Amino acid sequence: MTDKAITILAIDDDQDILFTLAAIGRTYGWRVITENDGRQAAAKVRGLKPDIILVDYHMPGLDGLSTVDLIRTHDHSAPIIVLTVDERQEIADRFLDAGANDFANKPIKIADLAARIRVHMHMRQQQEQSPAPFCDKGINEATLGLVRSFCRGAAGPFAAEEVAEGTGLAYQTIVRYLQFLQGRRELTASSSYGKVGRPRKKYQWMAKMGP
Amino acid sequence: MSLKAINYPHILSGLGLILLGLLAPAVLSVKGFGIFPLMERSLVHASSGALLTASLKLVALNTLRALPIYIGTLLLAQGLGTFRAGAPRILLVLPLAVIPAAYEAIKLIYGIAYDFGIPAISLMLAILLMSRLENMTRRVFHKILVLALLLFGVEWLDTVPLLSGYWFGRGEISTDLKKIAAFLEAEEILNITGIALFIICTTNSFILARLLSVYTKELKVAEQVRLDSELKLRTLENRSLREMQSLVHDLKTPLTSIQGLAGVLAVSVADDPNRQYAARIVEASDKMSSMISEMLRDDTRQIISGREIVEYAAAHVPGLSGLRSFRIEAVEPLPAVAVNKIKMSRAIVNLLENAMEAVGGDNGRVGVRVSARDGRAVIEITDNGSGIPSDQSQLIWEPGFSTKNSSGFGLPFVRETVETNGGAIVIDSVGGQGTRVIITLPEVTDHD
Repeated sequence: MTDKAITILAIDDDQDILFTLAAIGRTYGWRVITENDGRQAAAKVRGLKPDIILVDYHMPGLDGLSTVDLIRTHDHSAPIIVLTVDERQEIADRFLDAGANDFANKPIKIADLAARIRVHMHMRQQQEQSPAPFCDKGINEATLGLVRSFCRGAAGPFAAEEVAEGTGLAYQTIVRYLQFLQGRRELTASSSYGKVGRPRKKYQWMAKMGP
Repeated sequence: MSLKAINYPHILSGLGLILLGLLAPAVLSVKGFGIFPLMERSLVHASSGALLTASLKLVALNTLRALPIYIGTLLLAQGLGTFRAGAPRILLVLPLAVIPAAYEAIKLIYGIAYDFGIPAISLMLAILLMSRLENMTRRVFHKILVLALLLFGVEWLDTVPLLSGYWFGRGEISTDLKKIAAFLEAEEILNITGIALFIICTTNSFILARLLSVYTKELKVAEQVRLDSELKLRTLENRSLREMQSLVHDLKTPLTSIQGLAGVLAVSVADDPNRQYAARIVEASDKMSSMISEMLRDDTRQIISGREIVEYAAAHVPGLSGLRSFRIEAVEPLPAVAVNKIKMSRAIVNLLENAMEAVGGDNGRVGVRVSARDGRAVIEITDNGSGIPSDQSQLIWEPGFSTKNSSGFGLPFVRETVETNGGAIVIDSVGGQGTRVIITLPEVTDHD
């Protein structure tokens, strides 16, 4: 799929941001449909069949979280990227639970956003070729595959930031997937206590035991 | 009874005082007080004045001798938790037995018989009563004052001939005194003086107890008021912090358009100055965005040189560069720290502003020195200003305390910021001579 064919649905209450997203889309030759109301946007999804959905968190009326929820009740599989100022992991977790796939922190760097959109387009293509069901709430098999292959290829212990950089996914998304892999004992984590600040977690891929 | 209710220091000092009471007769003797010569003189010269003086001395002596035993008993009762809810009844008996036992011991050791009559019994009851006064339990000194006055008043009853038949004043010397009074026909003087002093002293003792109790209660109320206002201040502080945070948060929305559109320009326009301008706008908005993130989140850190923070902060203090003597001294090698740059430089701005205000006029000197020592970055801010009077050196850390009509949140903010960034702060000041503030922060050597 070329960039030209991509249809993006952008949902934000701020007209300036919608204008900006449309301008970014034009630069890359994407079709960007803008919508400033979550409910109307969710209703549009079925007919529009967008390739990517961008959704804002803070909106009057239906907020981003409920919008994602509503879109997913229609069981539309388009990747949803959340645009947010809020960098808290708990908010990220709630979004992933609701069915969002990734995050782009505001303000948006054009190159970052483009890379992120391309990653999700690529993953979607792969998923269409070998459809795999959702394996856990908030965990997408394609995203998991991407994270897993990065971890497997890592030379030594790695931090969540490195995975985010390597995969093109948001830090918050990566944290969630790494926790999931840790829970499945595919990864081990150890905290390295630096001199200042919070301890940094380093992950390591575990060779699978048995046959 | 749980062991928690037992107050060992109270028990120990109680036992110590009782012991002191047992030793008292060895030091405080009737002879030493010159009571016998006075009694003799009153007989020889038929002097009721000498008789009164003798009785005054006797009462004083008895008071001094008995006081340690009574206070000791009071402390013992309290130390054992005698009056705590749910304490065994048997504990009531213990202090009640102590005083007669002490009297017996004194009789055995010195052969001096303290009269255990009505005054002793009523005093004991008074002690038991006193240990229940909740507001009195906090200050031992208050209790001693009240008890001494009460004891002195009650002891006078032993010199009242009128009460002789009713378990009052059966001691050897009291009996002698009263016999002399009968002989001199001066019983009435002793009656009136004894009863009057009893009434005056005991009444005053009760008034004193009441006043001290009210005083203690008011101290408690004042303390509560102070705590309440502190809480209020903290609530206000939190609220304004939240307001600020949501404002700062909102700044990111217009910044999104700025950065996004500048990004579009940067990739779409042909290679000319406009492209560079757009790239600069993207860079600037990126910096602004990270500043906003640092303001929103305390745990956001960046690795930065100590000098850079100080210079950044100094640029934000109006008038500082106009101060001829202001200078930043950086000792090589320059220490690097991992801190929340925005907050840390705000903290240093606060300190520099304080220094500026303290020095006032033209001869003011403000200096900053950045150095590394023992794996820590040291930032010292010195001034030759008015300094902090030693009586205020602790108050400056209290939120809301201010000497210059400011919010009083400055220094508490500074301390909190330094500490959340893993550092420590010390203020060394001499009133009238200047102030030195020393901040130490963990130095970052390997940039991980």
